Order: sequence, then C-alpha cells, then structure tokens
Amino acid sequence: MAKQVRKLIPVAAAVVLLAACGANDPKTTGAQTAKAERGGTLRILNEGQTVNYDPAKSGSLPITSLGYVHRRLTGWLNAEGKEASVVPDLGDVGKSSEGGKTWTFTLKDGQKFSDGTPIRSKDIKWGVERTYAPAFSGGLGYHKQLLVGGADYRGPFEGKSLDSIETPDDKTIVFHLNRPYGDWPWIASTPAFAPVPEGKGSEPDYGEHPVASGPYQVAEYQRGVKVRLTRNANWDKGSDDIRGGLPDEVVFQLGQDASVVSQRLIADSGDDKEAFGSSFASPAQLATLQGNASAKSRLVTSKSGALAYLAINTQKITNPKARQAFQYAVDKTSYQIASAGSAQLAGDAATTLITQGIAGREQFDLYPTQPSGDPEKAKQLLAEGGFPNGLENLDFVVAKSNDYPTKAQAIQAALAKANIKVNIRVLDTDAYEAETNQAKDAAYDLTLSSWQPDFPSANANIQPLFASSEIGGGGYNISRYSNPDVDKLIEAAQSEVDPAAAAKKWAELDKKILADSPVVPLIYTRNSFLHGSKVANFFIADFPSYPNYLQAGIAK
Amino acid sequence: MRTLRFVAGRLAGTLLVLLVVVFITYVVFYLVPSDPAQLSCGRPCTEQNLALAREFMGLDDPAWRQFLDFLGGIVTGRTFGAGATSIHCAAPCFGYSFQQNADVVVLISERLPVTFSLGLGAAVLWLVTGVGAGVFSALRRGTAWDRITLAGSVAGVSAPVYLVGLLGILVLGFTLDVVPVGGYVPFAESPVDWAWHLVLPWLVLAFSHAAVYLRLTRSQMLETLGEDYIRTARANGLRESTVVGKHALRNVLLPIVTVFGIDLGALLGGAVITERVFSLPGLGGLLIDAVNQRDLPLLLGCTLFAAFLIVLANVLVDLCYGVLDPRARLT
Amino acid sequence: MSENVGAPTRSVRAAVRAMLRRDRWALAGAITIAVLGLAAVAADLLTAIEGQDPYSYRTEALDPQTGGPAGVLGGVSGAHWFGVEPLTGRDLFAIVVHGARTSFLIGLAATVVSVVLGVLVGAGAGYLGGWVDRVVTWTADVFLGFPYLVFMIALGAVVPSNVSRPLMLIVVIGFFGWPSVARIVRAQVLTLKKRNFVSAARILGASPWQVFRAELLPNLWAPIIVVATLSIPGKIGLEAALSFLGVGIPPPTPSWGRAISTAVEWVATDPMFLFFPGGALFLATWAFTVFGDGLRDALDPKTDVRR
Repeated sequence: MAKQVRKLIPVAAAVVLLAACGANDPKTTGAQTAKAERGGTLRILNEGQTVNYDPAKSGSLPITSLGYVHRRLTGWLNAEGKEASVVPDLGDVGKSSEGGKTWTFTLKDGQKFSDGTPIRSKDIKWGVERTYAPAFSGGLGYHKQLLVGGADYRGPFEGKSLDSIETPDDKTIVFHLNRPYGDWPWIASTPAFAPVPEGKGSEPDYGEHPVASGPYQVAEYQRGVKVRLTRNANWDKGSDDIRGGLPDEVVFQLGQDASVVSQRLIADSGDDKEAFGSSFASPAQLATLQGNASAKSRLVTSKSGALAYLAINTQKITNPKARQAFQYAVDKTSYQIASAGSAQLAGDAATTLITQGIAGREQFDLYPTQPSGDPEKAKQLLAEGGFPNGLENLDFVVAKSNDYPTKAQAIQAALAKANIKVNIRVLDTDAYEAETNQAKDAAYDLTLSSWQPDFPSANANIQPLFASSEIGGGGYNISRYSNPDVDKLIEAAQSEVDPAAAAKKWAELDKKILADSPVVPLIYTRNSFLHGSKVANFFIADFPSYPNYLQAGIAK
Repeated sequence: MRTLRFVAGRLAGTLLVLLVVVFITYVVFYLVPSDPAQLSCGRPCTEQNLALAREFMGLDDPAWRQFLDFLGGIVTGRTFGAGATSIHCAAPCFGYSFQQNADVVVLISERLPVTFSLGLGAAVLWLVTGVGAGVFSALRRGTAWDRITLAGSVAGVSAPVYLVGLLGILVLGFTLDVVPVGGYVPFAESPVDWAWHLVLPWLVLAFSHAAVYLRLTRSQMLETLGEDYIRTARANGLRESTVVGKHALRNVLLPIVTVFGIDLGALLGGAVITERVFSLPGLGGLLIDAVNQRDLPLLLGCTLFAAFLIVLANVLVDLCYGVLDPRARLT
Repeated sequence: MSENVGAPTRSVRAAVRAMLRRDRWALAGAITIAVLGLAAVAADLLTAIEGQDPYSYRTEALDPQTGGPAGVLGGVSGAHWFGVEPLTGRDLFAIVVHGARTSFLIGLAATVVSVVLGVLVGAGAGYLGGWVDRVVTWTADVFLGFPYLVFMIALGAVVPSNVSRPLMLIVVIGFFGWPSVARIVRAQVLTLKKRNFVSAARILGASPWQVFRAELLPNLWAPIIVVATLSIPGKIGLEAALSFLGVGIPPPTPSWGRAISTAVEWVATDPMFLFFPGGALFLATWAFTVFGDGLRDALDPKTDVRR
C-alpha cells in the first residue's frame, strides 16, 4: 500500500501520531468496558468529501468503510493480539492446483444481494472483470497482470468475457494465473473481488447506489455532505464472522475540518458520543488530549504500522559500505520527534523491512546501534568504502505532503554529523511521483517514503519495493534496487503455496536485502484515533494500523 | 431602444470577458505538468493503466483540441469513453468530475444554496451595520463614538478572517457552547436550524466586511457633507434628516454599491476560507477539494462560475449606477 | 475615492510631517511600520543576537511527553524570546522576524508592481483617451472579473516547486492589483487634462510622455502614495491567507500565514504559538492601515479641511 495513506481512507490527515503517555504498550482498545449492543446510529466524521462505494475504484482495507456494504471472496482475521490471516468471507480460503497456477474457491450457500437475488460465482467474476474497464479503473489491481489474458482485456461491457475465470457452477469459481502465486487468497480479499450482479454496474456513479452484499446498503448519498447506510435485510449474519453489523445505521459526515473534528470528539457532547473520526489524531490534538482524562481514555493507538524509511538510490550510491554508513548515521530518535513529538507517539524504531503483525516476520537488527545513531561508525564505514572525507552535495528529494520536508530536515541534520551533506529538494506530489515512481532513471540520491502493505503478507512488503521489475513505470522500487539473485528468490517465494514455507523465504529475503542496505528502516508508524464515549468495541489489531469499523457498535 | 443596445453591448462584452478568463485559466492549468489521470490509475499504476485512463478522460488529445471540446461541450454536451460505460455530460457541460462522478454543473448547483445563504445573510448584516455605523460616525464626527468605531473598524480590517473565524469557533462554539459548530441545515428542512448554524459564519464574515464598509461610508459621507450643494441645502432650511437621507446618502451610495457588487460577486463565487473553517458544503469547499484532488475539470468549472458571478455583479452595478446617478446614465 | 484632487497646496513631505504631528494613530502606525520593517531588514542580526535561527531543530526545548514546548508561555525564556515551535523546537522569535521579511518583501514588492502598472496604464488611458481608454477599461473588467483568490489557490497548487515561489506570488498578487490603482489614476488624469498648465504644455509641443513626467506625475504623487499605502495591508494579508491555505510560501522558509495555520491546532495547549505570528500579522496590517488613513487625510484636501 501506498506511502500516501490518504488513498486508503479519504483524508488529508496530518502527520503520524501517537500514543497515550507513559505506557510503552499503547492502548489498542477504548477503556470503556461497556459492551457494544445492537442498534443505534454510528457516526463517522470524515475529512474527505467522498466515500467511495464502487469496489472497482476502491483501494480500501477490508475492515473499514467499504466492508460495511461489500463482502469479498476472502477476508482478513482482524482481532487484537492475533496475527492477520486469510479467512473465508463469501467463499472459502481457496485450494491451489498445478503448483499454484490454478485456484479454486467454493462459495457459501444461501448468500443474497440486497435486492434479493442470490450471489453466484458469475457475480464475483463480473465484479473482477469490471475492474478491467477503463471507466472503472482506480482501485487495487494486483490481480490484473496475474490472470491469464489480463493484459489485453478491457472489461465485460462490450460483450467480452475473461476466460481465465471459470464458473463451472453457481458455487464454484476457478482462477487461472499465468504463474504460480502463493498469495492469491490474499489477492482475493482485495475490493475487486466484491460481487456485482452480472450485467449491472455500467453507470459511472454506481458507487452511490451499489448493490450490497454486506450488512448495510447505501440508503442516501448526498455528495459532499453525508452518506447514510441502513441495514441490508438480505445479509446473512450466520455466515459472516468478520462483520458485526451492530448499529442500525451508519452515517458518514463528509468534508469536516480536521481540527474541528478533534475538538468535537474531545468535547464528546450530544450525537458526537456515538461518533469517531476517520483521520488519525495529529500531534497537536494529542498534546491537547494529555490534559483531558476522559478524552485520553477514548484514544486508541495502533501498536505498529507502516514502515517509514529512507531510500538510497542504489544506482547512484553504488558502494555497499557507503550505503551501510547511512544505517549508522541516521538519528531515528530525532525522526520520531519530528514525526510526532516523541518516540512513543511516533512509533518504535524499525530494523526490518517486513512490518510488525505479519505472520512469519522475524525481528532482527543487522546494524545494532544507539537510537540516536553512531556518527563515528558511519564515518569509519565511509572511509572503508573509499570516502574518507564523507559525501557531499547529495540530492535529497521529498514530497511536500505528510510533513516530509520537516522530517527530511531532521535526517539532514543527523547525516551532517557523519560528514554526509545533503540538499533537500521539495516537490509537489505529482512531480514527486513522476520523478520517483514513473521515471526510469532518476537524479536523486535519497528520498523519504513510507509503505504499508495492501494485504498482510510479507510479499506485499518486499516485492513492490525491491523487485527490479518495479523500478519506474509506476512502481514503488524507489531505491532502484536491482539484484538478479533477489529477483529469483522473490519469484520463488511468491510461487510458494505453503504459507509457512513462504514466510521463511520472505524472512530470509528481508535479511538478505537489508545486508545490501538499499534503504534505512526508520520507524513503524503508529496511528491514533479518537472516538466518542458511547462507541464500543473500537479497536486496532496488530495489522493494519487502522481501527476495525465493522465490529464497532453503540453502547447503551 | 438605447437601453436595449446598451444591454446587448454589455452582454457581448461580458461573454468576451468570460471567454478570455476561461482561456487563460485553461492555458495555465493544462500547461502545468500535472496529470489528473494519475488519480484514476489505481495501484499498481502501470504505464498501460495510465494510458488507458488518459484515453478515457480525453486527456491524450492535443491541448487545443481539449479546449475546443470543452467549449463545444458548453453548447452541446459531451461524452467520455464509448459504449455501455460511456459517460454523458448533459448540455451545458462545463466539465465532468471523475473524482466525484458528477457533472460540474450539478456539483455547483448542489452547493449554491449553501454559499448563497452564507453570502447573502452576511451581506445584509454587514451592509446594515457597516453603512449604518459609518453614516452615524460621520455625523457624530470627533465624538467618542466616532473614535471607538473607527479604531474598531481598523482592527476589523486588520484581522484576517480565518483567524477571527477560528477564534470564534473556539470561544463561542466550544468553550461557551453558544452556537453549533459548522455543518449546514437546508432552509427547507428547518429554517430555525438553518439560521442557527449560520449565525457564527455570518458574524465572522460580516465582522471583516462591516469594518471595510464602515470606513468607506464614513469617508465618503464626510467628503459629501463638505460639498457645496449640501451647504446650499442646509442654507435653504431643509431638515437635517432630509439633507442627509435624501441628498448626501445618494451620493455616498454610489461607491458603496460599486464595492458591494464586486464583493458580493466574489463572495458568491465561494467564501473559500470561511467555508473551510466552518465545514460548510459550499462552492469554496468544492474549490479547495478540487485543488487538493487535482480535479482539473472541477477546478476549471468553479473558476469559470466564480468569474461569471463577478462579471454579472459588475454589470448589475453599472445598471444601478445608471439609476442612482443621472450623470452616469448610458454614457 | 477622491475624484477631484486639485494641485497640492503644500509639498507632500510637509503635509505628511504635519499630519504625523497631529494624528496620534497615524504616528503609532508609522512607528510600528518602522519597527517591523527594521526587524525584517535586520532579521539575521537580531536572531544572531538571540543566538538562534529559524531552521535549526532544538528538540531539547520540547516536552518529551507531548512534543509541545517545555516551560510556560510556550517556552519563552532567555534563549528563546518568543518561545519555540512545537514538534521541532525551532525558535519562534526567529520565525517571526524572518516571516516579517517574507511578508514585507512580498507585500511591498507586489504593491510596487501594481502601482507601476496601474499608473502607466491608468495615466495612458486617461490622457490618450479614445480606443486606448476603451481597451484599458475593458481589460480592467477582465481582471476584476477574475476570481483571483480561486485562481491563485489553484495556481499555487499546480505550479511546480522549481519556480521561485516568492517571485510567483509577487508577480501574481501584484499583477491582479493594477486595476484599482489604474482606476484612480485615470480619474485624476481626466481632471488634470482639463487644467490650463497641461493644455499649455500640449500646445507647446510636449510629447505625451513629457507631459506625463513633467505635468501629470507631480500632481499624481499624493493619490498614488495613498492608494499604495492602503493596498499594502491587503497584499500582506493575501500572502498570509495563501500560506494559511497551504499554497503560499513553502516550508522551510518562515511565513506568518503558515505559522498561523499550524498554530491554530495548538491553541488549546500552546496559545503563544498563535499569539506571536498572529499578533505580528495583525500589527503589520493595522499599522499600514492607520498610516494610510493618516496619509489620505493629509494629502487629500477634501477630507482634511475640517479636522
């Protein structure tokens, strides 16, 4: 998932943030021991102007807004203290054959759409095909290149069908991939695999009145003002463990000013008791909370989160010892403070590429040092690499969003102590993406970024950032790391169908790549969210660092 | 007949002005390297996906072609894409927002009542207080009242509107909990709630503008009261209220009407800052959203609409001039 | 505005001096402008005396629990005269005085641009008349019809960062300001055109440019100075508003507008962070306004008669 989380939840949120004071273990659930009950209206205060309910255009997590209305082929286990894993949603977790090139899923019985028609495998197929139409691009498209014939397919609306998706009967769906891929069940949990009734969904504003498969349907969509969800009578609670479906109604209030949202939630009066904010609390808001015991108890913080990292352009800084010097030169403490005011608020210092909460992750530190870095060791490594006088005039490019210029300055100051002089260049988002993601060659030496995988697999941590196929052309390999051995190992790990074996391979890759030091992991970014006093069962699991909307309810 | 020719002439001039505004805006926005297709590309955004998105949105045509398509769309409507998933933008089509899935015209018309409620309400408030206090100050020149209001109006002019707004929210909205903070209730739903939710935004907006009008009115009034014809009127024994109300005020209203017209036109184009601060779903908020999301068609539409309102206001002001000032009729 | 200013009865400088002696508000404004201007010019010196700069992080000055400034009043101390900025520890006094430099630079430069353009165009339209006048009036209409805030916001968001932002702001803000100056100058010139000394110069064969320089300009200084001074606060405010909305001066260059934008969030725990830059902006705007008022009273015979 992207460095810009605003794609995930429509938010132009402030910087990352942090936890309650004192405790090392951030509070991941609301202190209220009140139980969430059926009924009531849950309100969500949204900074953005839109909430997208068209699955083809969505990059949304399964546990947030889209999950209220649309079920998917598979889902995520999202509970406190548990690692995320694939669980059945509309279908089972799938069976592979042909060494991982073919995947077969069986749908559960008796599922219906909100209009009463049964959900058949053809409807899932139609939903996936729909994402290929240019009119409905914009969502997660990991499946597009993997399905046979996907490269040339342009959607089902001109009468053409994607043959690599077979539906031998109403309950079975078979996917033919062009290579073995062990994580296909995770891919089947992306929004593209939400069912759309066959033949429907050609209108551009389908997202304002979609046919629902989840606990709720879109009753009212007032652009820029609010979206109101009411119960979908045809949703079968018995077959759905992922969604609680507790409130009678869910209302999104759109276009809310961020600081006003925070004030309202702190004040906790009237309807705001039943509300929570969809954007993270900013450091300023957290500082305000410190003095307010009630508000502090209603703050929920993730244990971990996206990996913030300093990427080194391996095509320009080619000496591995020089790159390793950066691991010691960087001051992660000052980065934490620049992010959110303190180490606790910002998140733990990171030493691995795979983020916490992913099954099979191994904790290790190849470059152990003090939290504030070790400039002397860095200078020594530079000398060993042939740079006794350090490095000069390095081009450090950053996007202007997410407070990157401020964080870059913290890094700049730390690097200077190790005789590495950098010049910061700030770009607008589009220009930044053009230079880092799109361009085949790049002029920058360093850049700052952040990455949260789109699904909880080490695959999604490593492949997009370190496979040589992801350099330029829209890819996220901004350190431009190209190592044929690593590419082969990535391919092998992706093709591995046994999750345990795959996890081992990814952990080894983690170490192997870090030994080459193409990036310096900085922190696992913590997010905090505030909720009203009547909102219950509002928690953040180990992964992802967002609250579970689907299980929250109103306490009486 | 002369009136008709005048109006027709002004109309033609107006259209030309709007055309130039559109052209300049278009040139600036499309010359800049910013790719709206990126937002519709998806993740992973491969070159192929990007190309498909651009083609669908009509962005792979040369710039001049796009401009002509845009102008043509105003008259005939436009279609994006082809086949079952094509998007029709009904005439007059001022663009289609791919981010919000709606015609720009529809989006603007949805937001209009909010901005108009905000703008007109505040305008009434600041005219009454600003002009009234200004006249009063001029008549009571040099007194304590005059000095206080003058000092206050200078303060009002100097304080940025966003600061006043945010402080207003903090003090009146949260600390004292006197008024609800932000949000808009349509008039049709509940006139009382509608007004109640707008009280704070009205006050904030009116405060800044009233100061300007107070100063303007006062200085104009002072100037006019020194004119010969006022002295003559007084010497002729007319009552002070007639002198002020009928003779002086007429002259004073001229520049005020001019400024008011332009102010109102600009305000109705979207009181950007006030709407953002109070989370009001008006045209200002639409614009900020378009900017943040690089939604160029929407941006273009909002700019054009705002320009249209200002130009319209100018025309109306000129017509008012004709009514108020016989010397200025139809020259 | 004043339509019929006659030939000045005393020199501009004498009038201004007399006004400053009489009008306490204007004097206060003038002094404030001088102080702020001095701070802006000597920003580097002042921050050197304090021992800080607006860019360095001083995280030791922050409260480790919250990231806000340690100590009372937002961290005001001998080392940090105005306290520090939350999360970074950057010195607020340095930010305010360097921000003064930004605001003054852009405000004054943009005003110069507006005035130069406005005077040339307005005088030309007024003196030459005919089709020149019609074209100018129509162009002014186009500019007045331009929703400039909307346009500037959009422009600020799409223009790439390698274009010098202060220059862009000066040019754009200045460029949109010429119609109001031109209107006043044109009206003045229309009146002056009828005066004998101008006709005399014309008959004697002076070219329009010579007439402008020798006869018109000396009589235009008064209204030009007044309208220029009174438009400065608007331009400073506009730059601050654009920075507040995030499309003005980019970080890390200090700017009052951006500081206010960040400070608003912290007002519950660190109100001083809003007080200093907000207060500075308010003072600057207020000072130019009262001073401009005083100038107008001094230089415009119509309103100064009955003081």
